[in-house]
Amino acid sequence: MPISVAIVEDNRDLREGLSQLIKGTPGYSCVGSYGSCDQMLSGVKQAKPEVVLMDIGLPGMSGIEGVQKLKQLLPGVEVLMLTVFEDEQKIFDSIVAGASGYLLKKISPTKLLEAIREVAAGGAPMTARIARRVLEAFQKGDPQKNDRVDLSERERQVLSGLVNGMTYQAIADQLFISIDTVRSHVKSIYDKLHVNSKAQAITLAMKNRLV
Amino acid sequence: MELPKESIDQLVNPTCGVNPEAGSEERLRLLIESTDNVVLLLDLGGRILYANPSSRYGVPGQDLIGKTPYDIFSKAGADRMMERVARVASTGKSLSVEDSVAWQGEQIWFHVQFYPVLTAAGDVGSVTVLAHEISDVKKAEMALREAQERLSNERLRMRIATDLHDEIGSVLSSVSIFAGLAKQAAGKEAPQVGSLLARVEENVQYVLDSLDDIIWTINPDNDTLDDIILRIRTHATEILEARGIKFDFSLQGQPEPQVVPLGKRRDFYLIFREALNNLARHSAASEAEISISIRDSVLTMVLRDNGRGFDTRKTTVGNGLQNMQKRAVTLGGKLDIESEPGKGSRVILTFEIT
Repeated sequence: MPISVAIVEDNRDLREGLSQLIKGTPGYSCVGSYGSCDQMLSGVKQAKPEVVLMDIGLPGMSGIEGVQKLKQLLPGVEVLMLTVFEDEQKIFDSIVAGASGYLLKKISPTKLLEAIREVAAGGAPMTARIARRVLEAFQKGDPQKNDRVDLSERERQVLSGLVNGMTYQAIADQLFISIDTVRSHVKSIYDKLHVNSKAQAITLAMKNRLV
Repeated sequence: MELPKESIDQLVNPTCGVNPEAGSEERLRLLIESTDNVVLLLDLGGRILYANPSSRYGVPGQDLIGKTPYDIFSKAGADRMMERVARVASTGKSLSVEDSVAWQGEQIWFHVQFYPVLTAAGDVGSVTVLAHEISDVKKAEMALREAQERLSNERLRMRIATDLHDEIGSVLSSVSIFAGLAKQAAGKEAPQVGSLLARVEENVQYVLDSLDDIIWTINPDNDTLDDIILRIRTHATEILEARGIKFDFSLQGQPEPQVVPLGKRRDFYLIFREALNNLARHSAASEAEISISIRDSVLTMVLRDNGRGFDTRKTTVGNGLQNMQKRAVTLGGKLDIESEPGKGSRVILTFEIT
């Protein structure tokens, strides 16, 4: 089965380029290509992609809001954000909203395809700068609150390796674990971040008597 | 001539810094004579009838008597003063302004108050001028305003740059993808077309990388030393690993989250990029090492490789070495490039961070 991919990108040329690249590569299929989040949200349930490439800076509904709504419709979908430059805040916000990572638009076609395959297989790319923000997010958490999950010792080690700019391979070597184990730790860090952000949203909602 | 009693009465005003509880006229006179503020009495023609001996500005009050503002200030400054005296004379009301004068090569700011002094007949006969220096406050205000302007300029520049980059970046990314697809389509049947398209792809990638560097260096979010070092490390890892060059990175000394000024940040980073590009593209090395050490806010970066090296005396134009030297000069630092054919190369940059 080829990996099914959908694209949300307002720049028409880039959208078409990406969809042709994905269509034209064996092992991948492009099941949807949308110019806005609204279009995507009305079509994505039928298209059922495994991976969605989502532009961060969309006119109308932003990519960050788009991720949130998309994850409600298709909880199992993996979202990779597309961005021209590393806007740390926006990238972090989209990860908290449910994205599994981000890609710079300047990425080479080969690497783009690799990243899609990796995320479809349950991997999660994380760069040093984002790792730093993630670490801060866990440090800020209140350990007294039991609705928050904390990182395990191993996850912390992996995260601090990433913060120091180490590659997955270098971290694996340092911790005497396989690169796949590093990947699964990163994935679990993302999951915990999502759980915490949901828990935070629920606490906030309860405080405001919305639930 | 002494300051008339009416003037003293008018100066008895909390904003003048003269204590109204001071009591006798004698004590008030003493205060006026010992204050740092400048007190003048002018007739309506601008002639100075009285000047207190404020020693702060280096002119004995006595020397000013009989002169006019035109003898002391620039014509424009004197004109402003005379215009205010005339206004006080015609309205009979006091006036309060902020103004600055050039005094002994320095710009001095004053808060100046003009008070009418009435004659026995009830007309304005002369004007008392009280000037209180506010240079420090003004300078602080101006510095604040400048800083605010600079900050909003920086933000604006950043926004324009990112908007532009967003637009150009998206289009260029699509050019790169289309070139890649076309290259595949050309395949084996048209290898020459394929290799031309590969060059298009490569050049577009180069432009995208350079754009990214420009945006990164001007972004105020990336202005600390640890941001730069992290970027250097991740970037070098990415570039060198893609070319199969084994890479080591070491850091000595603590890169504190100290801010590196925009100009230095840019030059430092671009020297690194140029050196890294040369290493990746021309050295044919199998191993490379970057070490950065920081001591007493002096940073030393060494890029070393085991590649084929080159003769430093025969540097060709276009490999960016001259550019790197130029940047090192603007950095106020020192750049040494050591290499010999067959013996690898070493690029050593030293500069002061602050």
